[in-house]
Formats: sequence, structure tokens, C-alpha cells
Amino acid sequence: MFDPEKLTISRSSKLHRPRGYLCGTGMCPNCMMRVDGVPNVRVCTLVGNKKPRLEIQNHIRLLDTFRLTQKFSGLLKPGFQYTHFNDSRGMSNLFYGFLKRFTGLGRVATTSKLKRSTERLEVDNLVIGGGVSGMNAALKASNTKVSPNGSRQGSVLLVDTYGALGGDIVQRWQTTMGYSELLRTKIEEVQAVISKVIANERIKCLMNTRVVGYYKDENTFLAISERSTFEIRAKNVFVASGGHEVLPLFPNNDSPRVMLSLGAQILMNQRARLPQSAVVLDLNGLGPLVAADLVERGKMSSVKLTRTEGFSTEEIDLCNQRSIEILPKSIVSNVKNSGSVYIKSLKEEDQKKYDAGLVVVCGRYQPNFELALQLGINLRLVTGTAEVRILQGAAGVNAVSATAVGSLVNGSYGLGSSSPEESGQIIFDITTDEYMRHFAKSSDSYVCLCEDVTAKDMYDSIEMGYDYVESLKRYTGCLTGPCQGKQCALNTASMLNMMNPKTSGLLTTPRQPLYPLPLWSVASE
Amino acid sequence: MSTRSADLLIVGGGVVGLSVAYNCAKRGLGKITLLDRGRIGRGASSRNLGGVREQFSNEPMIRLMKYSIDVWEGLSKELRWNVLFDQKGYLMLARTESQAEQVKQNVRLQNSIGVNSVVLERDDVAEMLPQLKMDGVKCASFNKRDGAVHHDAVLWGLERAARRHGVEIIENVEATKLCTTSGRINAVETTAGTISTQKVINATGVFSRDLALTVGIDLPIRSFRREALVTEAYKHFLKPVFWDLTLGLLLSQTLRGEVLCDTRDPGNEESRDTGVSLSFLKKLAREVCELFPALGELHVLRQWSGTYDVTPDGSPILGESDEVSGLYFASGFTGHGLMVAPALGRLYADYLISGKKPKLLEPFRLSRFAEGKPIVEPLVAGRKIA
Ligand SMILES: Cc1cc2nc3c(=O)[nH]c(=O)nc-3n(C[C@H](O)[C@H](O)[C@H](O)COP(=O)(O)OP(=O)(O)OC[C@H]3O[C@@H](n4cnc5c(N)ncnc54)[C@H](O)[C@@H]3O)c2cc1C
Repeated sequence: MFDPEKLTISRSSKLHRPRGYLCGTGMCPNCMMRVDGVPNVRVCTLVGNKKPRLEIQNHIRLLDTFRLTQKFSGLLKPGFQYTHFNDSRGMSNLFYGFLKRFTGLGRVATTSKLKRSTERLEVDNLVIGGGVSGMNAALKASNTKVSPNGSRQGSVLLVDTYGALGGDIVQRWQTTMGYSELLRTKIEEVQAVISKVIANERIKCLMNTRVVGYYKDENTFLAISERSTFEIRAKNVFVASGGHEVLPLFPNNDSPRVMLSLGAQILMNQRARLPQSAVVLDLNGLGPLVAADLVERGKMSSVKLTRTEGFSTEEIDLCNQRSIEILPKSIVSNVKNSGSVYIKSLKEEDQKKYDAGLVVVCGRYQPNFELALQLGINLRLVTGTAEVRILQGAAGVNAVSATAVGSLVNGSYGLGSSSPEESGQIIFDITTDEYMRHFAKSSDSYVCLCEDVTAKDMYDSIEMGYDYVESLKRYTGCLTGPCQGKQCALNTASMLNMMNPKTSGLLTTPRQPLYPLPLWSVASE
Repeated sequence: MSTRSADLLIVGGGVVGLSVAYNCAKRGLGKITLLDRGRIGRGASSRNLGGVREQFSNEPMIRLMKYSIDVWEGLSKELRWNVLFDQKGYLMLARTESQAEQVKQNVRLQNSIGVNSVVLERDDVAEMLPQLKMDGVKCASFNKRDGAVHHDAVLWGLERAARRHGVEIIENVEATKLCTTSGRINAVETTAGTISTQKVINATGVFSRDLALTVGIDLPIRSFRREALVTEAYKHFLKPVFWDLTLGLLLSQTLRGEVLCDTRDPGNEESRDTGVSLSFLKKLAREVCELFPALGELHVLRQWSGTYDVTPDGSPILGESDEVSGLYFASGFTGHGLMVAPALGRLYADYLISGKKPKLLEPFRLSRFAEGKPIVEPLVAGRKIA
């Protein structure tokens, strides 16, 4: 469905900014379209080969042709609705009418879906996440005898959103490629674990299925797939939900030309045609490998790689062999929709302009912490290099994934922890990164894509006194949009921490469901 | 916080406490302090659906709300802060003969008090709610002066205005005990010292019973969990606040396009818990799919819950205590605290300044239960009042 000539597939909710394919995994609001008449569908997660009818949402020709909302974005700052049109009933009413005319995303459907039945599953062990951590947890759990008399080995249900086991690494590199010896060994390791899981008859895998929340009242995990709704009960649960990439701050970081690296690699898996050139922005250490992948599989003719730090000799070799130009100690300072990318050296003031079809962002990983918080697992906020510490969680509740990505070239790639006895906490690294330091006051760098909240909006709101998560979220709208904080929690937390290191209770427990779900999917008797 | 004093101490920084604080400060009532055990507005006041209506079925509440809507209409201007009071109308749907009868009777009563609600016949209902499945629909009542506000906007507007008028707002301090001397309030003990004062307003919502018990008054107020959910934003399609009297299903689309939904709590047990439940999600989903088949495609974005401070007759308890002078009640709202808050602010300011109880407040006295004069209100979203 990806078309390099038509990058804009949606319009943002408030400012109608053009948006394109970003994360590829349902972790952002950018690909919401009307599909066969149904609004707000994330097209990146559609499965099957049917060619549905796609319509762009929230495109209002009058506004968008002249980019009116974007030109007047200064008037639409967070809180503008409270400070304007309050002098008379008449003005207020006109204003409300105006808002109703322009807000909202898709038009509601006119047809209805059939209700579907819910499958109820009871298992000894539920493992949420099919990456290395989850698979190892599943293997160990399947060998553990279960009470009361310890005579039986426990059943295990492993649930994952992807269609294949192995987590992100497998989504990124489905075949073993020769870029790096280390990558090859890692993938072989993962594949060995996958084979063991498949061979183990006590482990059942439910793929393409999302656990959307834990509900205490029925002691149930609700999970949804394209075809079914599941209510799962388990004696033990292992949260190995990993993490996902998020966008750093830089001007026009929401441009349709910007894509997260996992999204780009998924497109290559699907053999989509990509633009000819890219700038790779590396914040998680995978940059050299992703750049190599764009040359090899993406058939790109020109790839540049930038990082705020330097590169190792292995990384330099890897890039040189593929004519990837490296730009160490520099940052992306602007992206134009036309395809100009500005890169600035951290030492010098001047910025250089490059032409690139895509900016591929190897973003920092935000842990998928939501479920863990609902289950009462500690979230440990750290600044500085994340070290993994294991603590005991509540009985029967275990967190086994520590989200850490590092360089697969240099050997510091974390593949999660592996022992189900290691229950504990999830590490959330809120260190201020170079991009945040540079663009914390930028009025065209977006923290929240759902509600079009810029870094400056956040900065100003915190200064105005909305300086703890709950008030900041209500005032600006960050964390409340359709991505439910998946793109903005890290930047929000790290900005609050940067401006007010004393902020406590940094993140509130996310409410169910963790991924938006249609009402009909839970409407069965 | 060391020992201090205040001319008026308001315990509870919800919408009711803030509204009373702001109005009293504006009228120059002296030194006013407002306490909350947490952050401002973190109780029911930031967890509701923002519904505002005059359509009640008892006279005192209709009169109180009629006055409150007058105040709502000028509130944005008064606070210099747009509280997003959208008078989009409020529709109550009757799907049984007895409900239809009830609805018509209510409209007659409302009209007799000067509220211009109307009865909508089937065709009018179908026109106003194009997505509604019309099977079994009898009629509806509708009032175009009703509507919805944005609760956070109200809280921020009131808080700002209160501060501008010199109200001292103390967060994260809990009132632990009311102190009296010969039947009069003389101080309040808090987690940060004692505050001496002659007048206290107990605006602590579901906690008001606990606070009143410290002077031996047992308010007939119970706490019930109340769930709600919100969907993703859609282009505007739902004009009025919609409420089905049979199921208790309530839908209201915000100015941002999200649809707020709630229905009767399946558990309906006394509780202060604010967790969310799967049984509520499923019940609500079934009801939406039944009444509005096409809306089954709406995506649920977030569930949450709050608490209702519920009285036996479904009406609030207002006014000064007969036993302890200087202690004023303002709770037991049974789901209607937000909509009455602007009126209460004005009325309490009049009350405290003149010493005379406003007529509108009189029926809501605590002693009505002992006198056998309850103000029975069956129109309570989310609950069945016996
Ligand atoms: C799901 C839901 C939907 C609703 N929908 C509507 C609606 O559509 N329209 C409407 O009008 N109303 C609605 N309501 C009801 C409305 O929200 C409440 O009636 C209203 O907010 C009550 O305000 P309050 O200030 O009395 O109480 P609260 O907002 O609960 O404030 C009480 C405050 O007192 C503080 N406190 C308690 N004890 C102490 C102490 N000892 N010391 C210091 N502070 C203390 C608490 O921290 C709290 O902040 C709804 C409620 C819920 C839960």
C-alpha cells in the first residue's frame, strides 16, 4: 500500500498537517484512514491481500490547500479554546459551531459489523510478548511443575502482535544477512529459541493478537485479533512486551518523509518500493545496520548516516563498504516536505542541506510499560545508561523484558532477560537526549502527533504551572490521543524531568484498553 | 503550615468547593482558605461527563438548575475563561409506555416552572438522531437550553478566578477533624496543623460523611463507583446529549469530536474504588450496538471511573447543620454536582454574607429525611434510585 510518490496519507487532527506512514506497527496515529467506509483504521496493521477502498480523513480542501491552519498555528496553541471567544454567548456559540465543523477525524460509518463471539481461554501461564524474553520465559514456564501437587507441567499461552515469533529483531531482519557477524549470530540464537518454542507442545502461540488490557473485575486479559476476541485467565503472567521506537524532537519531525526504522524495515520485508535516497538518524545504535539494509534490500543509491556521537571502526567499515556517508557528532536540524534535510554539526553553527527521499529514524525505545503498570509492576525511571535490576513483583506477576537496544555491530545489543524467575521492574530511561536539548523550545518539533502539540507548547505549558503529568496531559492533550501516549510518553516524561527534576509520579497508570478497539469486538453476549 | 486562621475554610477542592470559594472571595467575605487532600479537582470533578440540564422530575431541583443555567450562560465571560458550555440540548429517550408517560409528566412540570422543554415525537427523534434504531421508540423529552461543559475548563477557570480574588489554595493537605466549642465550629485539624475558623464548608464529595462523623453527624451519603469511557475523535454526528431511559446509556460528543459514553454500572456496589471493569465495557458495547448499530465501529480509547456521592432520595444535602453551627454541607450530589456548582457558588455567597438561607437551598436541608420530606429524583444517570 506504500507509494513513494504519495507519501501523505492522512491529515493531523488539529493543524491538518500532512502525515505519512511512520511506525508500521500500530504505535502512532499517522496512518489512520477510512477503509471501505470504516473510519479511523490504522492501515499499517491491515492483513490480507484484498485491496480495500482507502480514503484520506480530515482533509478539508479549503483549509488544506492554503495551509491555513498551519499558517495560523500560533493562534491554536494549547488552551486557545479557553482564552478566546468568552465575552458573549453569541461569540461562544459561533466558536463551538466552528469547532464542530472542523474537529474530529473520520466520518462515522453507515453500516454495521456483525457481533462476534468471544473465546475464553484458561491457562497456567500467560506470556505476553514473543521476543527472546517472552520465548525464554515460555520455555522455562513450560518446564515448571504446577501446584497443587506438582505432578503436572504447566500449559503456556504466548501472545504476540506480530505474525511471527522473535520480536522486533525478526521483523527487522527476516533473513540472515551478511552485514555483520554479530547480527548473524544473534539471529541464529533467536532462531534456535524459536525452534524450541515451536517444538514444545505445551506452548501455544496466539499470533497477530494484541493484549489490550488486564481487567481486575474478571481477572481477565482481553486480547483482540482481526478475527477473534479472547478473554484469557492465567495463574502466572509474564509481561515481556518489549518496547517501540519513538520520534525524537527536530523541526518538522512529523513530515511524511520521516519514518521510524522498524517501519522502513517492515516495508522492505513487504517488498515495497522505497525512495532512492535517505538520511538515517541514529539514536538507538542500530543506525549502521539499518543504513546497510536500506542500501542492500531497499536498493537506495544514496544513504547518509548521522549520530550525535561518533562511530566505531567496525561501523565505519560497514558503511564504507556500501558508500554510506557518515556524519558523526551532528544532528538533523530540519526536514522539508520537499525533501531537503538539514544537518548540523554539533561543533559548528552552520548547517548543510542534503536531498533525501526519506529520513529514517532509529529512535529511542520506549518500553511498552502500560500493562506492567496495570499489573502493579514497578516502573523504574532512570537517567543515564539503563542498567537492568531485578526486583520481586507481586505473586504470579512477572516482568521479564528489559528494553535495551544497543549496537549490534559493537556487541552491546540487549536481547532481554531470559528467566521467568526474574520478576521485577521495567526500566524507563528518561535521559534528556541531544535532540531534546536542542529543540525543547522549538515551535515546529512535535511531541504529540495525535493532538499536534509542539515542544514549545509543552515547554510553555509546564512553565505556566501545568507541571505534573496529569495536568499537563489535560491541558495540552498530549497522552490523550489515539496513540495513547505510545509516541509521546518518553518525550513528555523526559521534558518534565529536564525542567523540573523533582516531578514525582511521573507517569499515571494508563487506562484500558491499551490499544483502541471497536465496540463491536466486545459486544457479544 | 503552622497554626493559621481563616474567615471561611472550604474543605475539598472539587468544582463545588472552588465555585463557593471563588464566589465568596469575589463578594469580599474576608480571608478564604481552600484545602484539598490531593491536587485540585482530582476527585469526581475531573472524571465526569460534563452534562448540564434542567430536565429533572422534582420542583426544587428544576428551580435550582434553572438558576444554575442562567449562571452557566454568563460564566465564561465572568471568569474570562471559556468553559465550553455548549447548549446543544439534552434528549431523554422513552421506549416503554410508562416511560413515555413519565417523560410527558416531567415536561408538564418543567413547563409549569418556566423551563421550555418539549416532547419529541418519533419523527423528530429520528431526525435528531439519524443513527438511532427506531424499533420500540415511543417519544423523548428535549430541552435546548441544556448541554455540556468541559469539566477541566470549568476547574481551571474557577481556580484562576479564585486565586485572582485572593483565595488561598492549599493542596496535598487533608482535613482530619472538625473541632467545636459549645456547638460551634472553632477550628479544623489538618495533616499540616490546625486552622482556626468559625465557618467550614464540607465539600469533600464522597468523603463528606467521614468528615461530618468527626463531629458526630452521620450524613446519609454512600459512595458508588461510576464508570465511563471515551472514544477516538470522529467528525461531528451527535447533536444533543443522548440518554436512554431504559438502559441508562448516555452518549455525548465533545467539541473535540470524541464520544463520551456511560451506562448503568453492572456491579452497582458501594465502593470508593476507581478502577475500570471488563463487564462495564462489554455491557456498554452491547447497548451501543443495539441502539446505534453503525456506532459499533467507534473505537474505545480509554475507560475510567469516578465516584458518585449518593443520597437516599437522589438529591443533594445543602445548608448549615442544625447541630453544629458554622458547619455547612455541600455534598450528596448523586451525579449532579458539576451542573449545580455555579448556582451553589452564588447562593452560598449570598447565604454567608446575609446569614439568611436562600429559598432555592431550603428544600435540600438535611432534616428533610427525618421530616419525611425527601426530594425523590429518579432521573439519575447510571443508577436506579429506589
Ligand atoms: C462518571 C461520572 C459522570 C458524571 N457526570 C456528571 C454530569 O454529567 N453532570 C454533572 O453535573 N455531574 C456529573 N457527575 C458528578 C460530578 O462529577 C460530581 O457531582 C461533582 O464533581 C462533585 O464535585 P465536588 O466538588 O462535590 O466533589 P469532588 O470533585 O469529588 O471533590 C471533593 C474533593 O475533596 C477532597 N477531599 C476529600 N476529603 C478531604 C479531606 N478530608 N480534606 C481535604 N480534602 C478532602 C478530595 O480530594 C476531592 O478533591 C459525574 C460523576 C462521575 C463519576
